[in-house]
Amino acid sequence: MQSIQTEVLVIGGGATGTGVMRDLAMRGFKTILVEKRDLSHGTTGRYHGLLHSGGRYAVKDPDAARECIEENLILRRIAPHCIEDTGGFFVVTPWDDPAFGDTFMKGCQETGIPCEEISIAQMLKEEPLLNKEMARCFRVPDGSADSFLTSECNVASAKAYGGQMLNYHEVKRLIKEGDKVVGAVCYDLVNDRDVTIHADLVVNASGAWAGKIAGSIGIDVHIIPGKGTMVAIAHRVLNTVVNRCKMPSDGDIIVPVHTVAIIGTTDVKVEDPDQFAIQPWEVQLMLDEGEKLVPGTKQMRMLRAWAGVRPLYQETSVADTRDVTRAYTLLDHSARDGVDNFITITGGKWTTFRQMAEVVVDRVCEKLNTKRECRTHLEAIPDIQHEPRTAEGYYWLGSRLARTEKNKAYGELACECELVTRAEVEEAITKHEAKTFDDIRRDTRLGMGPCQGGFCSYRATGILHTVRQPSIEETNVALRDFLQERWKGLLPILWGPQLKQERLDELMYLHVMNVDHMPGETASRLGPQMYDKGTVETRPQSAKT
Amino acid sequence: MNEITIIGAGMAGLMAGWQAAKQGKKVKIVAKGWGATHWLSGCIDIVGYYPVDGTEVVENPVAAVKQIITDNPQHPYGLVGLDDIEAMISALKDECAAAGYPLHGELHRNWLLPSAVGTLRPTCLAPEMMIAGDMRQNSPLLIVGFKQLMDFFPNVVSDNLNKQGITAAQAMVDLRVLRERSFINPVILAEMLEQPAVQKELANQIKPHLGQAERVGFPSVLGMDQAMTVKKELERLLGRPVFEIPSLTPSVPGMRLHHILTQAIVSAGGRIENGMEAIGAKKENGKVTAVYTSTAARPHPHRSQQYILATGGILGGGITTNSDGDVREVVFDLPVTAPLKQVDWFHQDFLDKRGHPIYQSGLSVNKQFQPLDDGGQPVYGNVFAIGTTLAHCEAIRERSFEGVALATGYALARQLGAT
Amino acid sequence: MQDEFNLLDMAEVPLHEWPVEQTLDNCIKCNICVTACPVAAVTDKFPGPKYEAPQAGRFRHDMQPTPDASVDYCSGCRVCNEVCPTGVRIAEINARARRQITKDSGIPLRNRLLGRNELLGKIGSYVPRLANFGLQNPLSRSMADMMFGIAKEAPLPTWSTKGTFWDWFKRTRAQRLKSEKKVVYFNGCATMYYEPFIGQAAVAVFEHNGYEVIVPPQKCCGLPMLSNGEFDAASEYHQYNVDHLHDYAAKGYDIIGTSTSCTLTLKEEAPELLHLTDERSHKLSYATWDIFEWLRERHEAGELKTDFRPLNMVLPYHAPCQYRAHRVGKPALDLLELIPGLDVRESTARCCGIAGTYGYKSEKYQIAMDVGAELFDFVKTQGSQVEMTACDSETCRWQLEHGTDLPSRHPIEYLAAAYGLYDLERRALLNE
Repeated sequence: MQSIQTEVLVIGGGATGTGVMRDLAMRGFKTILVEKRDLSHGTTGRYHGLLHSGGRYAVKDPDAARECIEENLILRRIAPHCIEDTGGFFVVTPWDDPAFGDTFMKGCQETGIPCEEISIAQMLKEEPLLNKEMARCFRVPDGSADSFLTSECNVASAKAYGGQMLNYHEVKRLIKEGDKVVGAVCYDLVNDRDVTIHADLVVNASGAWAGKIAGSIGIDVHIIPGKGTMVAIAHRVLNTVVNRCKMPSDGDIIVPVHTVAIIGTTDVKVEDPDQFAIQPWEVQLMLDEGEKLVPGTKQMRMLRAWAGVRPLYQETSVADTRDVTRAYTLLDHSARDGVDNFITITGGKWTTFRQMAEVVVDRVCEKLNTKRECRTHLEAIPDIQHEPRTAEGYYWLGSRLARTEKNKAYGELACECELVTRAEVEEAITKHEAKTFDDIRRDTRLGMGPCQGGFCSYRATGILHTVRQPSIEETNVALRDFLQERWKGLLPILWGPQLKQERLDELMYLHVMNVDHMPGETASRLGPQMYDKGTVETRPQSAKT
Repeated sequence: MNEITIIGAGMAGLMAGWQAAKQGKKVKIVAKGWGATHWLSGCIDIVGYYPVDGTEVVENPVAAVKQIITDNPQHPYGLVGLDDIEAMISALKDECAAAGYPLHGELHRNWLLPSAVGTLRPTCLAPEMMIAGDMRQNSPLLIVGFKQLMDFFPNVVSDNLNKQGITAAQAMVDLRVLRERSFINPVILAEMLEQPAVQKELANQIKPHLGQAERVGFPSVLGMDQAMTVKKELERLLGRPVFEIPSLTPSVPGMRLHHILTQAIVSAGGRIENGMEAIGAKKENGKVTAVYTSTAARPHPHRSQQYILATGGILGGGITTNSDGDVREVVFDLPVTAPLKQVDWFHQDFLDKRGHPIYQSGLSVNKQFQPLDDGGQPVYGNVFAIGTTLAHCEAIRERSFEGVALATGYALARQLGAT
Repeated sequence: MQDEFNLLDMAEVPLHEWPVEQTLDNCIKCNICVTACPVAAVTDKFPGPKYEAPQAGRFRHDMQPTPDASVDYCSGCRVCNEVCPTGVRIAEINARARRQITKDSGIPLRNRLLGRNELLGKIGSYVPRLANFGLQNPLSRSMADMMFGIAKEAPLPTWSTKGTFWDWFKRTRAQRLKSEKKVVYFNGCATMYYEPFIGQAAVAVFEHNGYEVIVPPQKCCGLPMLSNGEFDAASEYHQYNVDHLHDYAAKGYDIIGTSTSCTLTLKEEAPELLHLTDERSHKLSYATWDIFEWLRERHEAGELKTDFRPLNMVLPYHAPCQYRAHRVGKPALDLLELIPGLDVRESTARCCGIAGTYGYKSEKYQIAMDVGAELFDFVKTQGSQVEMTACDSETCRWQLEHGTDLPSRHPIEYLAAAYGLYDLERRALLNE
């Protein structure tokens, strides 16, 4: 068995893990991060993309709100390229209590969140498709974030400081010697072999999977996986983040991210973060709630649905996952469980990943008896893309179009919906270590537009086969995996134009290209982990908040 | 007043319009836009896989069609029968031959042609442009791609062919005229390849790669109107048969068929009007007296004695669905046969061999192609439906898309012509 | 005049309530528009309708600077709309994107000039001979090319030297038919200043069929400005027309035009591009007819006189793109086919290339001629016996004449001639 030595091993390639990796590397620790699939494959890549202003928690959880606005301002400074400065509205709909607006304003003032009430006329001028019957509207500095890019950039930054990232390395079990954790045995999915990584200290940043990791050495970390289902509208019906001005609940937000607008979310307790279904009732609920914010939502084309599992930690059990605090938790298992050199970080939100990482690495320093200052809030995270940014350095919606127009790269588009060029796909394969088309997707947005891989799946197949020159069976299975990966997120929202699109995709892939009769395996171990097919049409009593 | 108004200009509508006009009927086709012709392979599939969840490719469509009719009398082929399929094939072959673009094949034997991923694709009729790719004969191939055309990767084709025991090599050409451009598409490329200088450069780039290849395959972009000339010229320059392989839309071979069929309709005195979306109908005493299309202002009535609905299914837009799980026919609001519950529309796997049940939604019709109500009676005396708007058929999984469209269009036109 | 009809309330993306950009969601990327676009076929400066509208449309943002450049090469011919099987309003999305460019970078003087068809017409008509001299003389055209970017070869019209259409209408007031049956005539700028004889032919045909013609105050429909991204000015013009025509529409009068682009603008382009959802614009839209659309309706109702004299000629006819955008079939063809002796040959060319003011621009002149080649070739293949062509739209006729060296006429001129009211050679009413 292959064996590797490092100072700190970080488990989990989401926002928290990559943030921890960057902070560790910047403070001079020899660091390896392992991720069982690809970066952002878990919850980080399956959230609605909100950069919290803190407004969402201003009333319910002032501590969380303060953390959010602090980190919001820091991220705008250090990673503007990962952020779109959309601004946010909190709107009082006809279904909400108008008096909550005052409570909300007060909460924002007390937690330091800039907030101003604007007229409904002004709101409609900026967002003409919003419900004209809104009672009030408040403006806050919400934004939208590219969580894939942030993880990639964190890792790129960490690598520049000597960090190492191993994707498709799934932790089978931690290695405990005496009362100390000394590393982990990982399964390398790509090469189908086990790898042992020895480390002075292990950080468990695996989010909803933290309980499973800790459980491998008998430590009980009780994580409640809270499933959040989201639906993406096929284009930007809104350019501002729009929140319902009320206590947090299901379907209370629409976030414009890149070319889509995402309605989120439900919150349903699930048993296993790896196995659950997107239920029809959840999708219907998102549409119904979306309809209240943007009338006509139900007739619009839906692009896709997906679900992430929130890693909510609790020491004792509670009934409703939304009542569990969103502030993060650091567990030092030496004090808690008598097992040394092992830290679990869990809970929290994407917006606060950097602060969580700082707290973790402070503790790592303490445990390894060294004093090194955090600088992640001071030093910008490098931009690994080649896109034009705004004067402030932010992402802007038109940037890819601007680049395509400037380079007259019309003929170079492998993914036409998301304006991804052949060169970008090649770079994802050669430089960014993308193994599957789904990895390329996270790097480039390939296949994330309305046709959901209809045209680019074939093109990516050809590019992969040309650049990497794998066996044809590997190429075939990569194509089949991607077709299936796209399908799993389409299935819950297939009607209207999107169903028509999917039938055209079937026509091309089956009728014209006969891909259902390609040689080789029908699915690979790198392939998508499926949601089970949802069958529950009406909301069960147990899922009511 | 028109005798027959056809709604939809896909394969079914064009075939019905052509045949009806040929029999002297006054025919008008109104269509929202162009359709399936531009998406399909340019071959005529009758049936390629049956049963759909089996593994065997259909070698003899006659036997498979018979089996389909026995297993599922409601299948569109059950309404048509083998004789009309035969007659349709022969009419189409005659017309294409007369247009200088021959189709080849027989109903009792499928071709096996390579696809753009290098699988072997069963089809019944293929244009002469494609038949040198037949995989029932095993001679070595060279597959050629164009660097600037990302819709066709020859290495994927050749490697999969090799995997299946067929000797194939590949080459990628980089033509000067393409290098200079900021984009190309299959249609532009096809028109460029009609220029002799481009053909020469193409052939010169290919020659060093010919090796042991006895035939040369290309993406289906070898000319538009002049396709057969381009083919012959390339064969002369390369000294070997050449053939085309269809890929992503738009389909140049499909467009050639579209051109032949629309010309045939106009020559027979029919009229085709595009950009006309049918949005409703006027119904009086069990008959339809007008179909309305949307215009820049008021809906526009089309008055006619008979109406043929050829609007397609889920893909063509004749059958539409919404988030509430409704499945509706869009022009006449005819009763649709569809899965009862939305949760039953799909299987878990994209490539499920059975096909997804929603795609079999459509109209149930009698042998006269009249859509039926729940009681099994024709809804309107003068409305008929053909093509993929019909239920009880998984045209993609069966590889019967063109066959179902053309055969139903042909059979209905023959019936209407006889009255 | 309308039958009842029932519509399924299932529009996937309903039009009119939402801005046209919403229709981009109907796109299934099938590339049919790409195969049909006449501009992308001749220049690689324009990557095609799918790229410009449904794809680039997802990257546009009202509050951000526009990243577009290539969309300016869309000619607005709407062939893409005509073939799109899913109902994406491609040309309109492009027009609105061009507006964003002008918002960001200003409107070039040249485009302002071309947008002001009416103003130019008015100024020129004061001194038509002098103006014509300016427009037809190579020196001033070269200067215009250099200074403004107006192509020196482009087929600009000539001002009427016999006064405007209104001059004629006023002058002949006493001879005009009075009748219970009335129609409102929207003459448009070209008839007003350049080709008053087309209005005369139209009036003669209406009166021959027993209709009194009302010509209310009216302004340019605004299309040239809409095409050049000047939405605010277009909006003023449209509002003027709504104000002056709405009452007739409300009273049930049909408002009929001979310029296919003007009537298209009143019907759909102005409301759609300016996103007007008010009742008055809608009423005007509903009451507006192209003249042949209206005449065909009369014919189908058995109300049209068919006392045609033979016109013994081979006539290549091109239904212009803007006419096809009305989506009413080919009514001019339907009626011309009734004229004995007239051998009408229908062109299947996609576009003549000119597309309103597109082909006047120096950088687009050659593109327009290349696009038009399909049509010019069609006319040539009809043989040497062809002496004239027919087309409903003025700029297309001028382009057709430029590309074929044959005179071109509006179909209403042929109809008036067949009624024995009009001289096709002189382009004048016979009784004048």
